[in-house]
Amino acid sequence: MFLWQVAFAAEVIPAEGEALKWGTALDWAITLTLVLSALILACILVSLIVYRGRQTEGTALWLHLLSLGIFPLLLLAVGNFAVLEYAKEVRFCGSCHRTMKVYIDDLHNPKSQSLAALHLQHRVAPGGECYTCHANYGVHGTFEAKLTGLRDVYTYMTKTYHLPLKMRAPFENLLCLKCHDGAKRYIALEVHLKLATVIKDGKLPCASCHRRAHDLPKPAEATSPGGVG
Amino acid sequence: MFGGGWKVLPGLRTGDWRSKLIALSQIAIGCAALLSLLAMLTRDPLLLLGFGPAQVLILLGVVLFVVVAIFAQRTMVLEEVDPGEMIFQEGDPGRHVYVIKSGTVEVLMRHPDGSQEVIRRLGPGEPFGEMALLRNAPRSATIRAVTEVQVFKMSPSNFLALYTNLPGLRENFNTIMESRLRELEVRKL
Repeated sequence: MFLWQVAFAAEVIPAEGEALKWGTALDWAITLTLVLSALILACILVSLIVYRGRQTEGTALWLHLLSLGIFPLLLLAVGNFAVLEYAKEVRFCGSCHRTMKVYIDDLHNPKSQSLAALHLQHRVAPGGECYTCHANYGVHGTFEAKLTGLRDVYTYMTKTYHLPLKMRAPFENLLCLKCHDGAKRYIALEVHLKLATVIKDGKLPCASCHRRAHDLPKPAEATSPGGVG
Repeated sequence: MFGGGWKVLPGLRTGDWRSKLIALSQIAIGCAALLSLLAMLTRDPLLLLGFGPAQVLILLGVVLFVVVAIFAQRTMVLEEVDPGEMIFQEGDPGRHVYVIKSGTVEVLMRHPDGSQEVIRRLGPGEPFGEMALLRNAPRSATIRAVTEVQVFKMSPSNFLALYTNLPGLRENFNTIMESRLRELEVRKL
């Protein structure tokens, strides 16, 4: 693997003994975004030097077609994909250190028995554990999560948050059921079938029978927002 | 070349509305490209979230460019050239016709040994570039700005429309062209 590939690689933590792989859609999207951005800046610079004062001349317009037409439109598509995909990574969620550090520490603690840590240890969604459990299914879920994240950033930047931080809404059973409902081990437990209606309605939270989602060092710190950016 | 803020994007300070739009488009798209470059290199969450508003800049820049691309080739544009800068070179393909608004340019002819000779200077009101269009040939000489020059640049279709419909202008251009051709031939002999 080349050095630049390591530098641009998405932060998926490899399992023990497994080599870091480069070549996911996100890796390519990040690399392409970098290349396109650099090309746009280079073309603008070239046009300013070579066609100075003659920006509307025929040959300059061909260069502008690349730097102000084709490349920017490609950057829109590829950049959006890269940002949305990268925002699903644990590293992105963990970048709000003050509130998320304890959650990320628990997630990556090999001795932790919290649901989050177990999901990571079983490699359910390598690199995207936060997003997989906290965002709803599909494109709608992605945008909803991003909007929640933007709201959190706005609240943080304008310092309009109130301490202690609280979860915006209780964790929905549907977020567990989107993967577990219908799974072989899930339906093997008769109680799941008997209580299917109350579980799906959210009247009986999954956490009432199962272990805690996150093992946090101090109970007071577990009151941070539950939304995923 | 990049002496001051306005010097970086001269189209914003002077030039016609098309140059101004191109400059604005370059600023908008350049800022968005720089932001996405930094966001991807640093993976800073705020920069990554900034890509959202940057999309508006990209779309604005593309729209401005499209407006210019539609209108730029249809009309006459005013261009600015710095002293010492070439407007076009001998042998280049090109069909635009220029009329000097202000400043002075020099006409250079290349000798077989590769050296260049200044054969004349042109000032305000004088045209150049018409020979390549009317003779359907490459540029017959190099034009270099002596001072800061402002030139009106006419698209071939615009010039031909004037040339065809205005006998006085046609006659004037024919006279100029004949005299310049004669001069060129004499010098080449």
